[in-house]
Amino acid sequence: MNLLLPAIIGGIAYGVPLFLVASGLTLVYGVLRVLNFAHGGLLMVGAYLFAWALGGRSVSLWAFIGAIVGAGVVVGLLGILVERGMFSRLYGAGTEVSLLGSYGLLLFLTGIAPVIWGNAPLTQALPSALAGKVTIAGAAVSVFEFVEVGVGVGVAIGLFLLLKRTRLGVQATAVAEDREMARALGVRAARVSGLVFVLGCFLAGLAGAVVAPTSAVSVDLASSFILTAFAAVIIGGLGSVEGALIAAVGLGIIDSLCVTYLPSVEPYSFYIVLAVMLTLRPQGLLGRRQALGQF
Amino acid sequence: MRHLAVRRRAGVGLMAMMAVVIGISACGSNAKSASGSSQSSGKITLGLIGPLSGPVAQTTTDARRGAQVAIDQINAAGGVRGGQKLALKVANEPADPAGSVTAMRNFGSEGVPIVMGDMLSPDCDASAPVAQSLGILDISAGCAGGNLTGPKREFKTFFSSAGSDSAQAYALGHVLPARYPKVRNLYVVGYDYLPGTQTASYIENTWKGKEPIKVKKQYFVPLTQLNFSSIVSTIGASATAAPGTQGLLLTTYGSGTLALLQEMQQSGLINKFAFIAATFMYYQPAVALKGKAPKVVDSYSYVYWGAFHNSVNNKFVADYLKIAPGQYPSDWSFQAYVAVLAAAKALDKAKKVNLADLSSALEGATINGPTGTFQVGGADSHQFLFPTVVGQLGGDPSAPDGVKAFSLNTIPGELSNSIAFKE
Repeated sequence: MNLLLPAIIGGIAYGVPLFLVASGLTLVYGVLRVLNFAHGGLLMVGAYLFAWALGGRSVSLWAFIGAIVGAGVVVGLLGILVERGMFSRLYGAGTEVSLLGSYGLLLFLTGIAPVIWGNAPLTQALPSALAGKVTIAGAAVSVFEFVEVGVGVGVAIGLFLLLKRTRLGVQATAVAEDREMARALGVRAARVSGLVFVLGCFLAGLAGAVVAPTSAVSVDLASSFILTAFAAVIIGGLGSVEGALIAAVGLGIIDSLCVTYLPSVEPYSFYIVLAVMLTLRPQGLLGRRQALGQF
Repeated sequence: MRHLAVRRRAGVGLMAMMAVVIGISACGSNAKSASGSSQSSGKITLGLIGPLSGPVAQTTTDARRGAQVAIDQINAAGGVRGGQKLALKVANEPADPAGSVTAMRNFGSEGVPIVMGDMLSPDCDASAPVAQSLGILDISAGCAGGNLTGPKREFKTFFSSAGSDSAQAYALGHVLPARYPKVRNLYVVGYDYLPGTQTASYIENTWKGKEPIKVKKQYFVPLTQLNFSSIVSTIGASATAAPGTQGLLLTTYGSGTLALLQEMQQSGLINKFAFIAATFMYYQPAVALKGKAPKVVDSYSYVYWGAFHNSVNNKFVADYLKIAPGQYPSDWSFQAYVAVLAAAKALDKAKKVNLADLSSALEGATINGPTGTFQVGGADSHQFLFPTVVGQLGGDPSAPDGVKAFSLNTIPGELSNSIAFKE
């Protein structure tokens, strides 16, 4: 049977949710030049909040959607505390220092989560409206995977519009290009940085809530998605949202093809692609060389 | 002059370091020479090593509870060695060999005679020689395998009260063919580590059906991975034979098993297989699915608390619920429970509380446990020979923990561990 088409479809269903995880990461780096290692921890917190709020039982569609958005909002609010309390003091200290700071935050979040929610993993059932599957060209795709793809595409469009068509987006781009110059021109760089960081945290919480129903909510979540998200961000180009989308979908398809035709290679497929990209085009698909110099 | 000053400071520093080292080793030897200090006060402390935080924390938590239940029961019955009470001390060490070695050394310094070892194989491998050198009897409630307990084992005083993956595979190879005689192909999804990758070959080799079973495809992912969507999608497209002829083996564990089954349920993959089998404790993931767990054939040391109707198990479950209301014992709880029963037996039988006497007393000891009476292996194997249990668990919203056992088989420990005896 022809397995190629199902592999591609399955890869897209994998890649777009991966972009959802990577989107906040690349946004924060693009504007603030902060590689936030704690992004995985914030994703984990979003997943925990979502599953805890709904109690694991099947709920109505609106309650489900509300909980997803609510998880994102709460993690965004947490981002205010984190940005004000920690990252804002580290912007001028260099990339290495903010990297260490974010790693410390990750350790804190993965340590505190079991204290709050216990050691046993949590699950969250889907509402009946989102249960079931659709078969496309031999590939069984669950209805919820369509929802994940839809949310991912929506986030991609939303971020594009935000960065290109809004005042905040223009200011964020200015801060990303030259923080001091932007400040000299009247842009409140600290406020813009804070808002972008909070948006990144919102996206992390949202991503955590979206992946929770198809995964197990535990501390493993902090590392499980984030390594592949980092790969997507670097391959797409640090700071490029469009690049992260193309890379995430591409990686999803490559992963799916490896599972189908080369299963022994699949665990390493992302990292092989990453190594090739760093060798041939270190700035990534749509990244800029000057960004690499800053990193 | 500057050179002289530097040399003088270096010399003073060196002497200070030597004084500290000598002081620490003197304290250590004082503690060791007073070994039995944990006994002399009328109390004997048993140790348990494992992480109480992090991804595998639940295993240690369950083991701690199981051990505590056994200790409370033994103390209520009069203790050991004519009235001495038992106590439990847990070393909360991260899941890494260096931490386990440190914990074992600390137990040695405190005079702890018996430690219910580690929860993870690399940690057991690291701490076993330390236990032996410090005179500690090591009964691991988490690690098993021919290299640790078989005839060619390196550490003569290491015992295991854990179920071994080869025993689980043997049991599945004997039970599944009878229930699913038409299955010819096996798909495997697991974590990329030794127990995860070799279990399928054990099952192939021990399959007791009229026709052999063949591993059709196997997929292994890095430990702790929770995203299986590519694998689920691929299996969905390629597993096209009649459902009665193909089975699925999961060698993931914990959150990984949970995540994989959720994706399989949502994509309808569950229905493509005659059976789904698991070898690393399905009970916890089944509970987490809150009454909606798919039916999975689990093979391990205990599998399900409600499957054994005898006075020992009834009391074990009842006492467990007292210390952990609403939580039922798991395989890890069972393994630690029988480890303590065995430790108490060894303490009662040994002439003196030292490693040689305790080890000799434990070999061949008969234990009356929740799954029945069994023997601790003799000189040939230090594996606890409790029966290997094969049970099909699934969700039941009306059950107190949302789980029900739909079928149950037991394979005698002497048979199921026969693979390990040859390693």
